[in-house]
Amino acid sequence: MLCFVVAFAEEARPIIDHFRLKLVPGVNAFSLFTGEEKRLIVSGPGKNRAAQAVAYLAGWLKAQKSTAWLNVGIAGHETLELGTGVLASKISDAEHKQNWYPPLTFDWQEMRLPVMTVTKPEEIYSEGFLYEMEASGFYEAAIRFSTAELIQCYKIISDNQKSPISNVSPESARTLINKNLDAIDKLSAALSNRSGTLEALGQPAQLFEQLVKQWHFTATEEHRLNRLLKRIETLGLLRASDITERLKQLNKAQDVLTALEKEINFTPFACHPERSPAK
Amino acid sequence: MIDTIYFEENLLPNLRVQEILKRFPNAHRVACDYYGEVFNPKAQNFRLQKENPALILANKTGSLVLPAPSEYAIGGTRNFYFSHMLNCPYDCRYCFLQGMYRSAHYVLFVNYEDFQDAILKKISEFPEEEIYFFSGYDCDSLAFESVTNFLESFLPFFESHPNTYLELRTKSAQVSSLLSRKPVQNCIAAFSLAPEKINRSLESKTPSIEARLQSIQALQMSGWKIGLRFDPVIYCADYAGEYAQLFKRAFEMVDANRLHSVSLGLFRLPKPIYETMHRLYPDEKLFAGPIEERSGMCSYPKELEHQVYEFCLKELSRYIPAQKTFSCVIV
Repeated sequence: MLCFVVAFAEEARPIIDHFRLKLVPGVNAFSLFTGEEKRLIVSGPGKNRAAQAVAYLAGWLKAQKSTAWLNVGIAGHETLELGTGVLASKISDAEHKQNWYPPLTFDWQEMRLPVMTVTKPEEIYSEGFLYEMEASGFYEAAIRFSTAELIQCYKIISDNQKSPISNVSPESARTLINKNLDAIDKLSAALSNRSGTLEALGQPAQLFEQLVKQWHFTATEEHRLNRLLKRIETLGLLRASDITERLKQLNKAQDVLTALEKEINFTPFACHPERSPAK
Repeated sequence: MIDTIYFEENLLPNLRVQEILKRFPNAHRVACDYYGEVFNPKAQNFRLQKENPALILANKTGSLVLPAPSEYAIGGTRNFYFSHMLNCPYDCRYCFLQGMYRSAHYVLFVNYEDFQDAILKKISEFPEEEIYFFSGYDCDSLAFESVTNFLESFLPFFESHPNTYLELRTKSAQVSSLLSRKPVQNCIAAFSLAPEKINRSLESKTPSIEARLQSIQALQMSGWKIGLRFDPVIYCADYAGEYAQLFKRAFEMVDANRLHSVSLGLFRLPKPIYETMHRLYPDEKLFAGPIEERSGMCSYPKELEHQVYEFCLKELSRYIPAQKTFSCVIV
C-alpha cells in the first residue's frame, strides 16, 4: 500500500489521473482518493496540515508498518531550473531545528538534496537547500506509523532566484508535477515493492484462521499459535492437511500449541538453496 | 558500492574524511550534526536497509575501549574490544549485529588516534598483564580495509606495544594489505570459518571458505599469526559430516603447530537480539528451528548443544592440542 500526501488539489490532479484514483465520497475533513494499492490525500498547505492528513489517512486505512508514504509537492531553490525533480536526502524543520534522514534502499540516480521546511513562503534561498512547507510535518507524522525506508519526499522546483514564488500558479504547479510523472511512477514502484515485501512477511500463517475457529485460544495463545505455524511453514515440516490431521484428536488449545512445538524440536537447520553468489 | 555518505559536519576538514569522500566521487553527500541522528532513530528496518547501506563518517566519543565478553578470550588475562566501525558489508544471517542495531548503515569512526589513546590508557592500567584487544566485535576487521586504512594506522601502533595483542577478526579473503607488510608478531589474523554449505546459505556476500583458506595459508606462510574461529557452529542436517570435512580441509591448509588459537562456539544470541532478528526474518529457517532460552540466551536445546559441541571438540582434537582450543560456550 502506498499513500500520497499532496498539499494542493492542482498538484494532486496529475497523480490522480496517472494512477486512476477515485474520490472517496462522504469524507469531509480532507479530499481522499483511492485506487489499486494506492491512496492519495490532499492536505492543504503547511506542515501542520500535512501531519494531520497523514494521521487522518493512517487511521482511515488502518495503516500498517508496511504502508509506504510519499509526499509530492513543489519547492524553491536558489539556482536549480524550474521543473527539476529532487528526492529529499535530509529534511530539516526550520522552526524546531529538527532533522530527519530518509534512508534510500533502492537505486536512485536522480538528484537528491536536503529540504528545509519553513512556516511561510521563503524568498531568500540558502545555498544547497530546497525550501517548502510540508515535508517535516509529513515525515514526523508518517514515521509514527511506518518504517523510515518506506517514507520519502519528492519535490519539484517551482521557484528560484530568477523566477520568484509569486509567479507560481495552480496551473503551473500542475504542469510541473505532470512533467515529473515518470520519476513519481518510478518512486512509487520502488516504495510499493518494499511495502509489499514487508506486508507479505507480516501475513498470518496459512492455517491460522482455520485453527482459531476450531479451538478457543486466548489473545496470547493466538500470537503463539501464529508464530509456531509460521515456523513450521518456514521449515517446510508438514503440509497443511498433515497438521490438521495430527491435531484433530486434541481437545484443548494448549494441547495444540504443545503438539506444534514438538514438531519443531530437534529439527535441524536445512540449508536454503544457494542465495546470492559468494564473492 | 556506496551511494550515500553521511558525515558529521564538523569533520569535513578531517584528512581521513576527505580521502574517503574522494574515493567515492559519485556518492551523494549529506551533512549531519551527529551520527546518531541517522543511525539511531527508532523506526528503521535493518532488513530493508541492508539492501543499500550508506556510509556514515563520525567521531566516536565516550567509552572507546570496553571489556570483551568472557567467551571471546583466547589466552590473555585481560580482554578488551574497540569498534572503529559498526556493521559490515557481509550479510550473515546469524550475525548479532542485525538485532543489535536499528540501522544497517556502516558507521566508520575516523578518530583512530583517540582509540589509540584509550588503548594506551588500558595498557598503563595493567602494565604487567598480557592484554588482548579485539577489533572485529561490531564489524569485520578487514572487509572495509580498502576504505578505512585501519591497518596502516593500527599495526604500527600495536607493533610498538609488544606486550599487547591485536586480534583482527574477519571473513575477508583480501589480505594483500597484510601480505605487503612484515608480519606483526603481536597481531593475530583470525578467520571465521563454516562448512561450505552453511557459507552458501547463511553468509551472503562473503568470500568462499576455500578463498579464505587460501588467504590464511598465504598469511601463515609469510609469518603472520593465525587464529581459526569456528563460531557460530550451526546445527544442520549431517552437521557431523559437514564439520568433520571443514576441519579436515582447514588443517590440510594450515600448519596446526604454528597456529595461534582455535575457538569454538555454538550459535547463540541474547534473547532480545534473537527476537529482533526473528521478527526481521520470520522466513528464515535458522530462526524457525529448535531454539530455547536459558539464562537470557537463546541457543539450541541443551542436550543438542552438548552433542554438537562435544563432537566438534573431539574432531578438532585430532588436529590441534586442547590448550590451543578456546571455548565460546557461556558458563
